[in-house]
Amino acid sequence: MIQDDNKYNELREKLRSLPRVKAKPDFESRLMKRIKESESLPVYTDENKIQHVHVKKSWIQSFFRPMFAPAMGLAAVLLIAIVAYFAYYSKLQTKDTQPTQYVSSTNKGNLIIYIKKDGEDISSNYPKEYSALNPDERNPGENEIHAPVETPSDYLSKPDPSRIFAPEIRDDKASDDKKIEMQKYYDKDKEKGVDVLPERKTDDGIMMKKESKGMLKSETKSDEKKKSDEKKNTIINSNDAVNKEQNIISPKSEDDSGNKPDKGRYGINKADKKDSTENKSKSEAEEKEEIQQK
Amino acid sequence: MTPSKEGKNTNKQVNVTGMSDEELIFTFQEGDVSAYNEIVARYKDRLTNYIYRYVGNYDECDDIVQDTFVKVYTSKHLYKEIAKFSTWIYTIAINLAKTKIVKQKKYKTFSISDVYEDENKDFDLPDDSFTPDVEANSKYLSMHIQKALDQINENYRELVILRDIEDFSYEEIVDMTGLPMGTVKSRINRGREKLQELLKDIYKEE
Repeated sequence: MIQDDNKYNELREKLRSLPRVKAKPDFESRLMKRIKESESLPVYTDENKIQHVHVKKSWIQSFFRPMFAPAMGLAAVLLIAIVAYFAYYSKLQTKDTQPTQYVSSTNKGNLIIYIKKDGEDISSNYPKEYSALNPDERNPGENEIHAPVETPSDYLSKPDPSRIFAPEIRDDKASDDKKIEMQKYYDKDKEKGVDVLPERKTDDGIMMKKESKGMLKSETKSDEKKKSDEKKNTIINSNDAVNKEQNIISPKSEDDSGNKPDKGRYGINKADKKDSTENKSKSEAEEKEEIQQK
Repeated sequence: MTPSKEGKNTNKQVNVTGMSDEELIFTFQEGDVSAYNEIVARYKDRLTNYIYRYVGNYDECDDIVQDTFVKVYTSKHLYKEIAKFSTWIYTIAINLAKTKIVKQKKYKTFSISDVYEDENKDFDLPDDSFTPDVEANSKYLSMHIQKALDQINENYRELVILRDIEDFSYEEIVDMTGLPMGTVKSRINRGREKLQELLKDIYKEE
């Protein structure tokens, strides 16, 4: 440091030799004026800190601020619009609309359409003649007439036109001659004792045709079998009489051996045979009945 | 001089003259305005000389020095015994001078003399009041050195003035400027070199 200073000694001396500039003579008076001016201005020191006291405003003052004016105006307009809508337009709409209709079904399958009265129960205007309750059973004080509640089962019980099957009744194609011939055959069969089932009407009103020939045949066959079984039984009974005689001859042999008599020798036991035939006929009959039922 | 609001402090005015700078500012902080008057009396010429050499304009220099003392008056509570009072007041002065120069650069003033530069006519208004060059031994030498100082960089100029004109120690300059010691030294040397180059003619003449 000192070396550097010595290096520029000459320069330093010249700079030091420069005349000392002094302040103006009125420096202090001007300074006094400036200080007075500065004192008049607020000085922000720790001591002279301006304390901002927050004055509490009432909620009305804080709510009705000028900055909230547009928002409040908009809110007021919206409120008026909503009130006007619910007061007038909603009533007009209800008048224009038709009264609500209710549909109910009776047990007889009829559909009833009735209109509910304003301000009353759904069942108030339900026709009394279709009511489930008797008018006599009702209490005189009770005004409530409950309409039958529609359930899924009720719905299905309704006569649905789409579900009703109406068979087409076609014209009889047979000619009169053929009809006469058929009538003749019919009469002959009747005379012979052949069962001829008459045409019958079902409850539904649908015409049922004569039962098929197959059915008749199966019945006749079963009868024939029964008859043949009876015949067989009579034959077996006659054989029994013969066997009884044989049994009288050989009772000792059975006793001596202690064994049962040989069936192969003497054929099938009568009782067994009878049972088997009976069972057979029964089983066959049952099977046929099942087939018929099916 | 300055308005003394408190009558009690008038008794202390006698003792103020023998006080150090730090004691003066502390007494002023306590409310003794006479201490402030003493500070102004001690530093007004020193600061004027320093700022004049830095700015190169006496009126601007006077304005800056006035602002410096107003600042000391208003911000007396900010001084704490960390550094010397001289360091503190010089720092205030140099900062104010720097801000003023920056403002001048930002809002360039238009001089009448600039219009007639080609004719080499000087239109500076005559000032009959006190001028610093009146007391100078050699008016020419003083002006020449001042011109040289104005030509060198502001950073170098500031430090050269503090070291070679105001005769502050390196440590004090470090405290004032807040720069590292190495930077201060290098800048002072560079400033000196540039000044020597600019003042070659003067040396030859001598």
